[in-house]
Amino acid sequence: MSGAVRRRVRAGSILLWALVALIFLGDANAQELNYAGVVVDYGDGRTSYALVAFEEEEITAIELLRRSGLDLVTVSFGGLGEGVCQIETQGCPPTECRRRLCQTGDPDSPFWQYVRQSAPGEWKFMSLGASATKVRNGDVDAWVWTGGSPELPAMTIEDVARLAGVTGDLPSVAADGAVPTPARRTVGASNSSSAEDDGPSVATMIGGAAVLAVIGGGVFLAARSRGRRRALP
Amino acid sequence: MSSRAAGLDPRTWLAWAVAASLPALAGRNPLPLLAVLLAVLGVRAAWSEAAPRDAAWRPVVRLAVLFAFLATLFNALTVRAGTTVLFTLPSWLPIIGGPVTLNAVIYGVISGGALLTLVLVGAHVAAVVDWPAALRLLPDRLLTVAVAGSIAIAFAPQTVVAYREIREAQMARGYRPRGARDVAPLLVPLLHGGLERAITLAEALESRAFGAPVAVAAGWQSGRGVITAVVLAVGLAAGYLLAVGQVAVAAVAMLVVVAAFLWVMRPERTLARRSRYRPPRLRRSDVVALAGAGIAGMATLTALLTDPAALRYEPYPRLTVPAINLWLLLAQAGLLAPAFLVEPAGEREERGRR
Repeated sequence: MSGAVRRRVRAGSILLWALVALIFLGDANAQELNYAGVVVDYGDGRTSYALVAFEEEEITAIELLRRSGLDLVTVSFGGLGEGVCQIETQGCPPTECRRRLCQTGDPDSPFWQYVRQSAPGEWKFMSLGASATKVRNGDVDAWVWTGGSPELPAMTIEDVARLAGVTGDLPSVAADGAVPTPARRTVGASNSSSAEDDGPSVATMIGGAAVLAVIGGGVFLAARSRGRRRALP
Repeated sequence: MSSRAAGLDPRTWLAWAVAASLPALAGRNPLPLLAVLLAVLGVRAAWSEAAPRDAAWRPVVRLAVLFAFLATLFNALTVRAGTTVLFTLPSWLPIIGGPVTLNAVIYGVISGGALLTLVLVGAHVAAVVDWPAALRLLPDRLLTVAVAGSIAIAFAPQTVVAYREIREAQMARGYRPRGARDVAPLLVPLLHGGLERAITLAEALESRAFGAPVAVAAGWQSGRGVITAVVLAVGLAAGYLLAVGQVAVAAVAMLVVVAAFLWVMRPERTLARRSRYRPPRLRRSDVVALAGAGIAGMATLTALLTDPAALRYEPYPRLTVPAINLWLLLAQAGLLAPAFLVEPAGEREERGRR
């Protein structure tokens, strides 16, 4: 190989490496993560904190809540967006939620209120709703199950991260490019008197199956007696 | 053939229908729904030969099965709630894109089952009840509404019968349907026949002074409009109060409305009274069926007041075992009573002759 050719090959390989470096650098810049916090006050002494990472410039508040990993039940109101019925075990089922978003005739009956800090400690009701409100890097959203005014302390994204169990630096993109799973923690114990329903006992289930079998037997007898009537001359 | 010859009194069937509809209207707990569905299927199976118009209501039942399936599909594809994800449809698909959950499928199946139960109850009662006999049980003042209702109930089976007749007549002429364009020879005579029947019926009703104003006292005539408006307004307010949770005030308002209704429905001396050749009487079989329906209905209402979870079920966000109220389930067996009260055709004819 002549010297001129060797120089060209060397220059070409340098260009190629530079190109590859640029691509990876650009990709690394694109993978820069945004973070937002979610605080959920269940109104019974429990509070959940979640730190959610997202790649997009902004996402909707309902998407943030969904990505937090908390069990969520919503109902769609078409162009008006989604209404939050239940977070974890607190809230109401979709059938009641569709009517009045869990509220009853009592003016103090609770529902899921969506608020955000306008100044430290000042939580403002987001009247546009969670489907139309955008969340950006550093925002802290709160969901409070109450019929009155939400009362929450001042909170920064760092506070939420700490309470959600993040120690040290905020989580970054994994080696395979995956967005880190949200950090989440629930503190406090439910002061609600209603204990979690464990469902019916095995004996009750057997009893229910037996009753249904009895009714099924009755159906069989009724159909059989019809067959006998048909067979009569 | 009158309902007396066919079996049970219209009042018995209507009470049975109310009791059988309550669990499906009160909630979505699959266990009471399944119990009622089984009982209704048993009664339908037993009465299929004794019900004079059963065949005419079968297309409606088939339609209900189709709608029950569609309800399941719609719920599964559009409701995103639930923790048990079966699979995920691509997000670029409009409306249906997203996770399909077992929770949504189960809720769809239960809702479809409730719909099917209600339609089966309605179709069976419409097929077995002798509606002229039922109309005769109503107060004189409700006769106009009752006649309109009976015409509405008879519309679907009459249309089905007319459709079959037209199809048979057209096929006798060599008509063979091959596609959507071939439905015109069926639909045009069906529409024409329907209009003709409606005009004939209207003429028959008109000739019998249907809807003619009733002669009432002059003082009552002037105040009737005002009282009707006030009572309707109170009824509307009662509905609103009930919706916003003011149950006590709503109950008082409803009592006022009921009292006004009973006062309006009292027998009027100036009205021509209807006479009966043979007043309807409940027989032993009616009492047994009424007792069964009463037990089932009372159990449902009691559960609604004392143990609402026994009638309700929500599979969101986590699937759980539905609440079981054994007494409620056992009471629904009472709905099966009419299945054992069908008389053999020979006995029926014998009693009819007597």
